[in-house]
Amino acid sequence: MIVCLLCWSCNDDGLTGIANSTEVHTKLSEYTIFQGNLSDLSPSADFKVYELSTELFSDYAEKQRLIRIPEGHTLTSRNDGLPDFPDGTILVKTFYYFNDKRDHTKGKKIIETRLLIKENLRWNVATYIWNEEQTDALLITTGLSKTVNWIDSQGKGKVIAYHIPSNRECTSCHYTGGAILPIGPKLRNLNDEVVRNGTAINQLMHLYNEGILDQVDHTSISILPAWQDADKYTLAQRARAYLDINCAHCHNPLGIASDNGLNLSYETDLGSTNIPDNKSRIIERMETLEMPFIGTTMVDAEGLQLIKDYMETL
Amino acid sequence: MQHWLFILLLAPVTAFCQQEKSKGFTAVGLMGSLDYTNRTLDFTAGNEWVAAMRDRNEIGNTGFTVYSQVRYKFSSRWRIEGGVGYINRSYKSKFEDLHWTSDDAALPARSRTIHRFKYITLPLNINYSLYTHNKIRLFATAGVATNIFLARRTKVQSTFTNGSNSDYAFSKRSGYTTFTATARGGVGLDYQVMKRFTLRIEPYYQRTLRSITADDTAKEYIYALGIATGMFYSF
Repeated sequence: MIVCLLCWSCNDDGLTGIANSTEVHTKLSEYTIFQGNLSDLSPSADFKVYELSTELFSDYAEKQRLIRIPEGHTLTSRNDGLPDFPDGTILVKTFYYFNDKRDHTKGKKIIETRLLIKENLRWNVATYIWNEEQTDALLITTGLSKTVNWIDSQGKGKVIAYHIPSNRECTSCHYTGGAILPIGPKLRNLNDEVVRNGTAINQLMHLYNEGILDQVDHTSISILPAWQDADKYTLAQRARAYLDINCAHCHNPLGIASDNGLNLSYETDLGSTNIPDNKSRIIERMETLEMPFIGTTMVDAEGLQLIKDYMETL
Repeated sequence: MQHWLFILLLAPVTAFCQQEKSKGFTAVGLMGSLDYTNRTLDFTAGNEWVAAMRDRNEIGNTGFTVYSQVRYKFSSRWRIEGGVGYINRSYKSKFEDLHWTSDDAALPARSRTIHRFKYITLPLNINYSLYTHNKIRLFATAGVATNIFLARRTKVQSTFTNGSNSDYAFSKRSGYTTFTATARGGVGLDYQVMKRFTLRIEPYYQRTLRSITADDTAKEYIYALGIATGMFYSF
């Protein structure tokens, strides 16, 4: 009985829940992120689009990323990692699927919008699930499985139990050294060419021009390779970039999986990552979807093949 | 060889012609049941609409239980039964129509999602004899079990207009508490079929005392209604 009581007192679910330190709105529309018809995802003037050179896999969902910086402030660059974000920053990520990925004119289905809001030097999370009419989205903190279907680029019908994360899941992935931090917008992951107003421009320069980022010499910032760009980057570079964006937020010395000895950050020397000693384990866990621990309900077939190819070279 | 094996298996049964001991460890058993299982939700304010939506869309499903037990008898009426086993609990979404922007008949028409929760269970039950006559014993049981979470398996099942199905499944562990406790109660019947073998049938109800999720804003309790059947071997 004592053993039972000890067991019952244990609350380990593999996640790290960190409570918000600020109130968040119950409706997404209250943030006035989008103008006009909300389902057009047309950002209002305060919110600027940004892109990542390598993205986290999220069951093939399309993503729109926006950032709002309070007036009179900018992001302050610090080497090629995360910049300093001023209080009042809002990061917005909206997940959606084209009804037919071969033909975007057939419309899209918006599933959820996730916010990271910085207040009083702390990041807070908020997830909003879009209604069936696609007119607004409601705050959800508990997580939910939702049936999502679309036609993929090969013309095949896909049906999945898409998972909208709970706050506990959000804060687990974003947990670093006891605090919540953004994952994607590191300068090296922004240091790529984007097209704005029909013109190709380095994104760091563009963000500076928009008043979002302080002045930074983009040639001095490293680049996180776009893992799908086989023409520009080597297999090793692409695989390490994939592991960085998909795994390293937990598998780093300050993440929630710090105790298992893997450090999958791109900047870590291969010899210090422990990848060579865990080749088959990494592949097996990706194949069985044991990893990623949260955030996916289907195997990233292309990503898995990339990692398999890379492991064969080690 | 087969004859020898048969004799060996029957030897414990035929060698002794005594009733179950009056005290101490008196029997071992193997039990199993097919269960109706479902969940109740206790979500905090602000998430009640999610609970209501899930209650509209989700229904119970079949699960099952298998476990072995050891019986300790400490009086003519009272016994303790403890053991180890495996339980499978489930609920599923109702079928929903899928909408496509194509008329392609090869696209599935409907789908549903089935969630299965797998646990190792360590039950500990008190068994009280209500009535005993010849080979029949009527009893009531109540107890608790500690369950160790193994995985949640989710299957997405799609059906096509021609009636065929396709599905894919995946397992996850995150978000669910490793240890949960369940309360259990039932009434049943033991029937002594041979000197040492007793058949048991026991309708029962079981419910988790603690949420299967670690999220304090979204508690989820699983319950099961089943008829356990099995056999005990008395020492």
